[in-house]
Amino acid sequence: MMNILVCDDDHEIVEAIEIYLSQEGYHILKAYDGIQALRMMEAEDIQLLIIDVMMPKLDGIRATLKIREKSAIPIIILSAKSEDADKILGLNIGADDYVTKPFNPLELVARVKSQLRRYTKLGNMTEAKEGNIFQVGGLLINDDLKEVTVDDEAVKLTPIEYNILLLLVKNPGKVYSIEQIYENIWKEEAIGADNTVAVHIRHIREKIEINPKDPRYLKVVWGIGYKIEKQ
Amino acid sequence: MKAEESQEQSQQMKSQSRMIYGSVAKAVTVAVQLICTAILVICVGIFALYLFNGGDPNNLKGQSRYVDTKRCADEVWTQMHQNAYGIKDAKLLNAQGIYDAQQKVDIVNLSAGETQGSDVKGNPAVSYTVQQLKDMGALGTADTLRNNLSYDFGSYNGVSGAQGYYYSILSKDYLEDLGAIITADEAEAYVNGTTSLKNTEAADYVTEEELETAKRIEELSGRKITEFSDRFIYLFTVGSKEEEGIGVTAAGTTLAEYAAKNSTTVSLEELYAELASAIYYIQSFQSVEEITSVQNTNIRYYMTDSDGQIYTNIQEWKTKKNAVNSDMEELKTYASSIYYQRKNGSITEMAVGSNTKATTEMKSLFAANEMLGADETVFIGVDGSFPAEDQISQAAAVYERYSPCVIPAIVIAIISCILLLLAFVLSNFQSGHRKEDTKIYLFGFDRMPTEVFFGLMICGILVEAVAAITALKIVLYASTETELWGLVLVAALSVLCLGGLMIFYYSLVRRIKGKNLWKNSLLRSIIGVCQNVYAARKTSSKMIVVFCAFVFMHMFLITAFSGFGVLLCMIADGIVMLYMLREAAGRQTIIEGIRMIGSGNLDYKVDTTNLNGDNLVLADTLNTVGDGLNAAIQERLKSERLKADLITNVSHDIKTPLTSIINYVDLLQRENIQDEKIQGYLKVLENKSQRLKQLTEDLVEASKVSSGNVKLEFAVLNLNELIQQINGEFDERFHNRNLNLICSLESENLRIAVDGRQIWRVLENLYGNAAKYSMPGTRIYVDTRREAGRIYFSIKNISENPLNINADELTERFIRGDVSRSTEGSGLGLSIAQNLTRLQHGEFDIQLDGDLFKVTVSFAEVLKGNE
Repeated sequence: MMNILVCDDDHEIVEAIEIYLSQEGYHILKAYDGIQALRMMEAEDIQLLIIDVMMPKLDGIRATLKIREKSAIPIIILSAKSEDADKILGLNIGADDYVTKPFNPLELVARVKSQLRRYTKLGNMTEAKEGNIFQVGGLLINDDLKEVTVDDEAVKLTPIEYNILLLLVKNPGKVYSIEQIYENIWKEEAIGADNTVAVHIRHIREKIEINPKDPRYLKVVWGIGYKIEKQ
Repeated sequence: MKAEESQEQSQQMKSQSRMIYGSVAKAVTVAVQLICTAILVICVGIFALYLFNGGDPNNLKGQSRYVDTKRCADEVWTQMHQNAYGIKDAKLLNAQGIYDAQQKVDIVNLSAGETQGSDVKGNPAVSYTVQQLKDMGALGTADTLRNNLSYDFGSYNGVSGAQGYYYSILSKDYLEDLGAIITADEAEAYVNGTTSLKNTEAADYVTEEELETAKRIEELSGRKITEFSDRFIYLFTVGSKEEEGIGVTAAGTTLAEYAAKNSTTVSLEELYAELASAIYYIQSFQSVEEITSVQNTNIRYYMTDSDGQIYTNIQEWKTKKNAVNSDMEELKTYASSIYYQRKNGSITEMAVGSNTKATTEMKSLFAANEMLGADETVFIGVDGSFPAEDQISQAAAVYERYSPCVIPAIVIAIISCILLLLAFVLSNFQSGHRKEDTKIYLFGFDRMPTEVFFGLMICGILVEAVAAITALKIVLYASTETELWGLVLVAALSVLCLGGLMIFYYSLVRRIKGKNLWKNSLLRSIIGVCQNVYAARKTSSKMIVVFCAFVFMHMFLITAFSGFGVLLCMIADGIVMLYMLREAAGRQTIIEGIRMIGSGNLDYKVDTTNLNGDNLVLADTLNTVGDGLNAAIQERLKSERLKADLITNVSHDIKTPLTSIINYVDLLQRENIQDEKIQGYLKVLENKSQRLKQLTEDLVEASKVSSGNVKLEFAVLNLNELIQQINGEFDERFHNRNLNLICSLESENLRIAVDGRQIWRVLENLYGNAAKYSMPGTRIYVDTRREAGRIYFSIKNISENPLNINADELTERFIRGDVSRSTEGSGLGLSIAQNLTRLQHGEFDIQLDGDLFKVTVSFAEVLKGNE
């Protein structure tokens, strides 16, 4: 049984999150301000923290900083602040993920799962890493088995999707243009405008990303090409 | 189709009706005016010549021959009457009234009215031959004499008095009146030569020449010079000189000598007066002599007076006594002949050769006026073959040449008058217009100040009037051979005059049409300046006072100290110049300050250390204005920031409750509710809450973008690549709505410098719009192209709902194409896209054409190697 601490000054939001996460089999602890959250962290054995930023007494950013002094558990900030600057600040002070309100409950659940898998199973993965295995963050491709997993969850890709993803994962950070991808995968010259590559990329994103519009792995460099983010 | 045709037709008609404003039409009207004027002038000239030479305006058909005209009769009568006077006068010279050059004439008797004989009956010392007198007339002696005689000597009150002209101090008058300088004895001594004039006081007043004259008078008269009047001495001196040129009298002496010799009985003054009269008499006699000679005239006459004396210029009739009516037969061969007898002042017999206007006129004229006296017999005729050249023959030549042309000339004149008027009216309409449009076109000349224009116009009219009058004179006094050329010359001059006048007249018309008669006047600008000066009277009155004071100071200094004053003025001017230089320098500083602040440098401060007076006030004010502007801009920026912050914060506060709404709606939906009504309600709740979510996000975005509060990281990217990526992203959304994307891209890479994420948001909004609002089943066209150094992207789609709205409103916040308001979206998409494009130095253009919606976005192309 995983213990998840949800901290938000809005009681209804905490209740709702509890309902969603309880259905997935997690045990939920509730706090309504930063001080309470810190106390609960001291008192209980908690595996994941979902914390709001704007709260009375102690805000989420300060609380996260305090917690990071002692603990390495995954922290997901859940905030109405959606500016880039807010996200960057949150991630920089030690949060592992940043979800903006109003959030999609399913997305939140997926992110919680993803964080917990990585937190709990990170050790095992390094062992299996041999031969034709490529890993970027939680994304793992075993080229021998032609298997793709995201945070240990198997993803089903078509052969072309698989090849495109493999091409990108082999060189994390490198930007491939549509033309380059086409020539690499189809082994023929790219002529004229064609949506094929872009459509495939979108499909891959939909399969491997929790929120395809805000991808973690397969990123679009607008007007230039695509790349896998180096983690 | 029909409507189009008729439109075309009306267009054609319009362009045809504007044809009269074409340059050809204008040239035609101007040419018609000029040509008609020339024709008119020639016709009027012909008419004038006709009238001037005997034509009758009441009877244009007239006589074919001049000798039959009334005018000819008048001319004959005038000449005959002059002749008659001459004959009467001539009787003074000799009984026959015959001109005899060698006949001697006693001028004293002549002026007394005594008839002269053929022999010298009078005093030879005062007699000249007729020839001599005639020559004197030619020399103008009579006029000279009269001038001398009319010389007014006045009295001698005061030697230097204005009136006191004196001829010689030797005269009696002088010695009597003023004998202050020399005595009579002294004068005599000088004249006799006993005392030399040299080295005497008198030498200043008497010349050697005067002494000579005095000596001569003394010799001739045997009297002392001092007994003669000043007037006599004067007349003697000038008269002697004059007589040297005209010869001596029958006695072989001059009149001056004669008068000097008989100084006690004869007045030289009277003699000269009589000589002048005699000369004039001979002159008038001479003119009579001309008509008496057949060589000089075409008039033939025979007259007898009460003495039975015959006067005629017909050789055969010279001896014919007592001619009667029957003798007319011979005279009848002449044109316009008349015969009459007068007894005791009344006509007893009268007959004419033929009945014409001329003879009718002659009858009445001759019946009313006596020629030679109460008893007379007169035959008069005009030789129609004109053997001699005289006024009659000249007039006849002109008359006979032009009388047949008069009626055609009048007809032509009327026609050209009408044409002229038409062309003139047309030209009035034409001037200032052109074929192309309805604007009024002005020439440079039309923009000349109105006063200068009027001045030139008046000068032009004066010059032209003088030219026209001169030309008219030339024609009317032209000789027979040249009057036609004269007419042509007048016509040419008239055309020239009219041409000049037209330039001014039509300029005036254009000015009135262009409404710049007042606008261009100097008076208006002067009034304008005065108004400005008056409006700024606080400053200008000061300047006027200072300027007047300065001018008065100059005048005072120069008049009071002359040369030294000029020096003072120069010093004062120098000081003023230094002052003005300082002012100018100050102004320059201020102008620079204004320029700096104007160009956006609001922190700029004008350095006031070297300024004073008005410039200092100006600079201080300018600095305050700069501060004010700066503060206003800071205030504005602050309020913009506050607004953006407010929107952001409000949206945060909305998001928190919204989160609960969305979550609990979702939870409710999971609750397996069977009731369809409740499911429908939940669906509405879900949609609206999602829409609210989108709205808050867009609102924040829009406020950030419109206040420019977006960080941009420019990088060069390939627009074609971007389009392909976006096409991939939207592939499914278009597919879901059954939309067909037609994409045509420029074959080469299109390099633009933009922020990749922001350009994505621009295009995402545009594609999103197309996906949301397109009519299902239609095509969406996307294309890129390169043109004139710019890269263009355009997207076209057919809107599902009518776009009854203009393009500008679409980008206004919260405005969307009408009814589509009820679907998803916030209406901020286009506004955000437009602002983001502009932030990236691009251009954003929306075009609506019916249901066709088109957006064009363009950026400057980045050339290779320019990254």
